[in-house]
Parts: sequence; C-alpha cells; structure tokens
Amino acid sequence: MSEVRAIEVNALKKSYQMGEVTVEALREATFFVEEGEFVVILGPSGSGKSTLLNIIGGMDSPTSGEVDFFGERISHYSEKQLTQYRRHQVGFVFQFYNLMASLTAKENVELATEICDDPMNIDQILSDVGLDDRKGHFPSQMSGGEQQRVAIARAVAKNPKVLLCDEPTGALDFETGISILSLLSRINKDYHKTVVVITHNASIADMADRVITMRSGKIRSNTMNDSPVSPERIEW
Amino acid sequence: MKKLNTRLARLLRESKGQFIAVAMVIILGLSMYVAMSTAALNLKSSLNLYYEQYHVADLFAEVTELPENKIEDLQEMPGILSAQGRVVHTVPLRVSDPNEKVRVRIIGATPTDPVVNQLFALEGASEVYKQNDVLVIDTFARERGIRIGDILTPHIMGRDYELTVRGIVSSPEYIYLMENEQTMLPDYKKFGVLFTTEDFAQEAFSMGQSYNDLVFSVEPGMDSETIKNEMEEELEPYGVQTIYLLKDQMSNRMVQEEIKGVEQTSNVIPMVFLGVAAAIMGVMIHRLVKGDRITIGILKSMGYTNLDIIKHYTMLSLVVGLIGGVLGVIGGTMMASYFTEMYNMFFSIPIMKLTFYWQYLFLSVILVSAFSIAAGLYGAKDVLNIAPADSMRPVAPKQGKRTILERTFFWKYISFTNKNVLRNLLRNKRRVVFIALGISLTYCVILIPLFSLHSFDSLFIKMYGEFQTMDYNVNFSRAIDEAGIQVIDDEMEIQHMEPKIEFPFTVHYQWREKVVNIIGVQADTQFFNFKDLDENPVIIQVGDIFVSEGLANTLQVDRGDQILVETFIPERDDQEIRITQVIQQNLGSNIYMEINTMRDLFLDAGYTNGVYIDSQADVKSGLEDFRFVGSVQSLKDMQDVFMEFMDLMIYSLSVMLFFGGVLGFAIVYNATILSINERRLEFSALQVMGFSKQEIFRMLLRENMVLSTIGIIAGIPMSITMMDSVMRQFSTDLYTLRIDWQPIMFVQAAFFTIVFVWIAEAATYQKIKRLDFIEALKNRIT
Repeated sequence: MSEVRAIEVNALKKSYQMGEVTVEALREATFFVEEGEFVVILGPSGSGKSTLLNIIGGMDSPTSGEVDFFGERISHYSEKQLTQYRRHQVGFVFQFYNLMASLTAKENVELATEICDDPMNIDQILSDVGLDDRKGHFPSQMSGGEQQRVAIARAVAKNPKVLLCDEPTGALDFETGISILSLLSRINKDYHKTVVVITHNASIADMADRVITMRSGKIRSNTMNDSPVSPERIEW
Repeated sequence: MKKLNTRLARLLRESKGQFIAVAMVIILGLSMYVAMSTAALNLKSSLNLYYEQYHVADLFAEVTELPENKIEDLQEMPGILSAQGRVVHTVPLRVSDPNEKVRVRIIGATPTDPVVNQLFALEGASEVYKQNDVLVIDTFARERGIRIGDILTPHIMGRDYELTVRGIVSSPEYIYLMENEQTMLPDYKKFGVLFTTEDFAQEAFSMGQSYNDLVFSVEPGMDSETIKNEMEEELEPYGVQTIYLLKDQMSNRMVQEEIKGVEQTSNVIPMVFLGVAAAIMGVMIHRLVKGDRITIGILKSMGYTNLDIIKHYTMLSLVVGLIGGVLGVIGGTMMASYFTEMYNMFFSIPIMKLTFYWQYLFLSVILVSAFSIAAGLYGAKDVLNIAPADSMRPVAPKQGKRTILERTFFWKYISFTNKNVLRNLLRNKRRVVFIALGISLTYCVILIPLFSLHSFDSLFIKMYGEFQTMDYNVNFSRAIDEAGIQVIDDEMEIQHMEPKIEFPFTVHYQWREKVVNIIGVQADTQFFNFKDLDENPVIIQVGDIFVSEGLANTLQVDRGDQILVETFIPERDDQEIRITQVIQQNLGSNIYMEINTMRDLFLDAGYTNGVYIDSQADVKSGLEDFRFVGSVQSLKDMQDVFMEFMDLMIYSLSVMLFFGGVLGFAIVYNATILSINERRLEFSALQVMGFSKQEIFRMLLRENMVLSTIGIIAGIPMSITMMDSVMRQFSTDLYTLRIDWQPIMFVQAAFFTIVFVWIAEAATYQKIKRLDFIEALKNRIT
C-alpha cells in the first residue's frame, strides 16, 4: 500500500431541504483513504454513505467541509471542473448496473472511453471481466451478474484512479455477488485501482483493507483490516 | 460512429412509427413550401421574361373611333416607344354543333416597329398577311382541336367569314383568357382570340380606315401614370371609353393575384405544419428526457457535459427534421412540376419551364433545422436540471389529490374505467391541452378545404342565382333606342326584359382610382337582389348610387362618401356623386345606378347598350343574329364552366384534406404512444388486476375521444378566426370571399377529424398488444 492519500475528507456536511424539514445527510464526516486500498464503507440505509460516495465522486457538492483527491481540493470545484473530474479521475459502479439498453456490452464500455484521454483496451477489459463471448449482447440478453460485469468494465476502461461502487452486489444473488466482489478485488490488485465499495452488508467488510463505518451521517470508525480474506471465503 | 449516435440511431429505429409520423408532417410542410415557392417564382420569372421578350403593352385604350393617321401622332408623344392601332370585336363563331355557343375576339392589327404584344408562334406563322388568314390563340386551339389549315367561320355583323388557320400562337396579352371580369373562370372551349390582318377586320367590322383599340409601349424609365393621363387627354376627341395600365389589365391581374395567393399560402401553411412537427418533437423529446433521467445521470457520472447530452437529444429532432426536410424538398420539387403543369393548363406562357431553385433547398434546410433545433432544445432543456446524484434516486411520486369531479355526488355512479379516464384527463392538464390543441388545429386544417369548396360554390350561386337572376345578359355593340329593344321582345320568346347601360369609367376617391363598369339598371329591377353588408335587402331608386364592396374596399369608401366619376364620353363633364349604399357583390367590382339617373349624368335620354332577359327558351343563337348584339352571356354557360372548375378544385382540396389528416394522425398517434410509454406501470397494474389489453386500449380510446370532442369544440371558434383571416387575405377587387358558415361544413370537418383520430388510435393498438407489461413491472434497465 502506498502512503499517498487518495481521498481525504474533512468535516464534510451535507444537508437537504425536504419540504419544511432539513435533513442532515452528513455531519462532520472526516476520514481518508490511501492509494491502492480496497475500502468498504459500511452502514445501514439512510446512514449517508451514498451521499458521501456521490460527493467523493463529484456528482454532488457538500454543504461545507473539504474533499481532497490526491491532494487536489475538489469540494470547491465548479460544475465544469467536476465534469472533467468525473470524466478522467473516477469510475462508478451502481447497484442496478444502469447500462444503456440500446447499446451492446462493448458499446456501453465504448460510451465511457470515447470521452477519455487515456482509456484502456476495451477488448482486454471485457475479456478480463469474463465477457469475451458476450460483447455483442444487449443488456436485456444478459443476466444481472453479466450486466454488473459490463458496468465494472465500463467504469474501469476509463482508466480512473479510483473506482466508486454503490452497493454493487445489492441486486444480485449470493454467488453472483461473490463473483462480482472477486472481480473488484482483482481490479484492485491487478490494475492497482483504489476501490471504494459502499454497502450495508457487513460480511463484505472482511475482504477490505480499510473499513469505514457510518451511522446517521457520521463516521463511526475508520479501521485497517490487517488480514483481509479473499471474497470466495465471504458468506452472508 | 460515436456511441451516443449509435444510441440515437437505435432510438429512432425503436420509435420509428412516431418519428415517421412527425417526418410526414415535415415532409408535407416542406413539400408545400418548396412546391408553392418554386411554382410562384417560376410563374413570376417566366411571366416577366415573357413580357420582356414579347414586349407586352404598357398602356391599353379603347376608343370609339380613331383614324389611322392619328397613330403616328400618338407615337410621337413623349414617353411613347410604340403605338399600335387595332380593330377589336367579340363575335360568335360558327361551329359544327349549332347548339354550342362559341365566341371569339377578333383582333385585326398590323405589326409595329418597335413591336408591341408580339405573338409567340407555337405552330405555323406568327403573322398573317392575307385577308382570310387567321392566327388562333393556343388555349382555344388546344381545347377545340383546331389545327393549321382548318377553316374557322366567325359571324361578323350578320355575315359568316371563312378564315384559314395559319398559326397557333400565344400572346402576352392573353395569358389568362377570359372574356370579361364577370366570368372569373376561363372557358377555353367557348371563348378564344383570333388574330387577323388589319384590313380584314376594318372591312368586316365596317371600320373604314380607323381603329377602336390601342396599345402602347412606354419608354423605359418613364412614369406610366403620367403618360396615361396625357394619353387620356389626347384621345378624348376620339371617344375614349377606357384607358388602363398593364397592372390593371385583366389577364395580368389574374396572374399577379395567383402569384400573390400562392406566395401568401407558401408562407403560412408550411409554417403551421413545421410548427406542429416542432411541437410534437419538442414534447416527444421532453418526455424522453424525463424517462431518461437515470441515463442522463449515468452519462453525467461518466463525465459527459450538459452540452454533450443536450446535443444528443437535439440531434434526434434534427435528424428527423433533416430526413423529413430532404424528402420534403424532393416531394416539393415533384409537386412543383405538377403545379407548373397545372399552371400551363390555366396560363399560357409558352416559355414557362420548371426551374429548381437552390435557394429553396437552402432555405428549407435552414427552416427545418431552426424548427428542429428549437424543438430539441425545448425538449432537452430539463437535462440542465438533472443533478447526477439526484438522478440515481427514483422520482418521488406526484402528490395525489382529488380532482374536482371526485368531490361531486355523481362520482360514485361512474364506472371504474370511466373514473380512470376522467382522472387521467384532469391530472394531466398539459397533455390534455397539447392533444386538444393539436386536434383543434387538425380540425382547422381540414375545415379550410371544406370552407373553400363551400365558399366558391356559394360565390357562384350567390352571384349567378341570388344576386343576378337573369337568364341572359346581352350587350349591344352600339347604343340602341327603345324601338330596337322592342324588336327583341317581339321576335324572341321572352318572359321578362329590362334595358341596361354598362359603361366603363374611372372612379377617383382621394388619391385612389379604379376603372370600373357603371351599370345602369331599371328602378325596382327584378334582375338584381341588392343587399347591404348587413344582409338587408335594398332597392335601387332614382338618384341611388350603389358601390360593390370589393370596389369600396379598393377605394376605401363608405356610404355617404363622395366619389369623382371621370367620364370618357365626349362633351360630358366629370361628375361628383355620393354613394348611397355599399352592397354585397362576390364577383367583380361595379357601381350601380338607376338607369335614368345614369343617362342624366353621363349619357343621352333613352340611351341603352344592353338588356337583361328571362326566358325559358334557348334564345342565345337568336339573339346573336341581331346585328347590334355584341355578346350574350347565359347563366347556364357560366354554371357549366363552374362545374368543370369545381371538379379540378375538389381534387386539389382532397389533397389538402389528406394533409390535414396526416397532421391529426401525427399528433394523436405520437401523443398516445407517449402516453402508453409513460403509463406502462399503470397499465401493468391494471393487467395484474385482471384488465385485458383490449379494455386498456378502450380506456385510451375513450380518453382520446373526450379530447377529440374538446379539440373539435375549441376548433370551431379557432377555425372561424382563421377562415376570417384567410378570407381577408384572398379577397381581391375581382372577387370577395364571404363567410358563408354552413353547419354541414363543421359536421363534415368533425367527421373527418374523428376518422383520422380513429386511424391514429387503431395504429397505436399494435403498440399496446406488443407491450410486455410484466417486464415493465420489473425493469430496471434504463
């Protein structure tokens, strides 16, 4: 693991106005993630983990506090800078895959790489995620696991520094979920990408290098896991 | 290809029905734009070129008698380039069927240098030198199958002459061949023009060494109005009857009116179609963007900018627009050739050809691009409001509230399906307004041809059945006294006869002027049913001056105004007269006076130059045998011509009706498909509850029928306003289109609108049948 801080979050606050009620989704969240780590942010529904991921990923702006990405303060970025940030620095994987229904697996990946400066080899990535023979298939012709593989390939192919995954196994059965976690683990190791996974499934924390727990918008703990297990050994 | 463009192409393919429907509207709009603009420009440029190359006269005059040797003096007048004296008379032509009444205008003249009104030889000679040789105007020759070498027999002053056809010609003076303004429609089979030698005409019409008609070319750069005034003074001693410039010449006016009409239509109707297409596309893209909320979020999460995404959706409407545009330009070019052919049937411009104007291609592309981009930007503007983080969360369901109807006591008596229909309508006000407006517009577009058909029908019926009721309108070639008129009464089988005077005068009001025929009719005439503009009957009495509304509009005069009547009659002074009534008259512009008032003011006591006759018998040929009878116009002839014209018109209007139908189809089809796509979850839930697809379809059908009813009801005042404006635009001093609202028109338009809505609805049934409702319930792929 390198000593370089990939993500550093300091006193991050995010509040929403819902009618007459102000919802505080994040309250003074502070933590850091080092480059190359496999991080699991763990917390129940409504704990603010998705909000946190969105802010780290440049999809949302904080109410206050700072977010640094490899030393660069992104929390004060303009809309335009955030777009460039999302384009080049981070890749997203969502719970429900969110593929373009009218594009094939390969085209979904190309959609992401077309706007990047330094994309990875698409065929290689698709082969690495085990979709060599499914490249020409449309999402509706693939299983959930296969669709999530495409989504991962799409996120990785941009060659981002950090991969942000929002409940990547949430919509999958146990076995498929494990295979997706294995894939993410491989990407972390083989491609040297920092991977941040948010989940409410505590079992997944076993495979992480770092585990951050959240509750009610606050960081409850940020601990290193000295002996992460391989995904195949996880059970839930 | 960029992957976003791949998505675009597949989106187009998936929703091809919707896009084809929109493209059809664009195709029709642009076809009409290109066809009409091209046709108008072809007609205009061909006309100008023809006038220039064949030296159309700039000034026309009719005189009682002008000696031959005076022509040279006239030619020497400042500003006059060329002067030609002619002998012009309209006479019957003997044809094989004795019951067929054919009339020809004989023009006897010697070509001048520089030439005026040069003839264009389509076949054979363009000039005649021998006494019994004749050239025939092409439209008449074509309709009657007249060929070179044929013998024509005009009946001139009681005698038949045999003339040999030496050439078939076209004349810039007779591009639109009509005997007079009142006929309005040309009848090429019944009226023609023959060109003879000057000597022949002078001899046959006993004109000696004189002329009764003059045409002039004016030197370039000279003020034609001034020259006209000077010429009028110069011709006064020779009994000038009328003098007018090319702009007031009948054939030229008819062509110019046509060009103006086509230009106006080409500016308005295509805009309506493109506007509707843009509105549909705008709504389609708006709904697409709404449905693509998560997709847009994903694109943004990948680093696509707002501009990239807006461009993506705008490209969709631009592609559809350009496809429609290209096909529209091709269709328009093809239609332009049809229009040109149609013009060739009505207008004789031998050099007229179809030219493709590149500027219309560019203008079409610019026009369609502007509409499409505007539609795309309108539809895609919500992209800006979609925050990538928010887009990942499902949209909070709309807050439900009870509609007004639900609070009424009879709500409980309504069936579940009908409740659904009413709720949907009341909760989606925007959609309701869009579809209802679309149906209103369809109703209006469908009503235009029906209105036109009824208007022209009523124009003729009113003019030649209600306003004028005589069977025959007889014009004498010279003034006749009462004894002469008595001869007609004695020799013919006549039920009723009234003397008349018809004479051209120039009427002035302020700086406006107009050459019109003033008609003197008997007080309490039985042949005219005058009505004021409020439909009240008015009876002409001694001292009355009635002005037709077309003329009143041209001169901008009203009842009580004093107008100056300039007379060409020798030794008679111009007269100031006060208008006592503005009356309805659909065709032509006239002033009516009580006959004795007219005699006192302008003529001699007992002067008569025509009669109106009612007769059950066919007295036309008998009347034409009188030496003093110049022309006989029968009501039946007019009606026959009109019926032929109506056949052609019905064809053109059916096309227009179809265009309106396509508009309605596109609106209803697209709106319904959008509705189906948006309500897949609702329909799935209904299916789970046990509703069949047919029942769901019937529910949609009911919704659209309610909307159709609203649209049609709203379309009635909308169409009345639109027709009122169309009527004003197209009314000229030649004819006044009057709103004659027949309830049947509204019923017919409603029927056709419902038919087109129903067709669109039937087309959407396939979509309902193909929808996988269960998939809709579980689908999470964007």
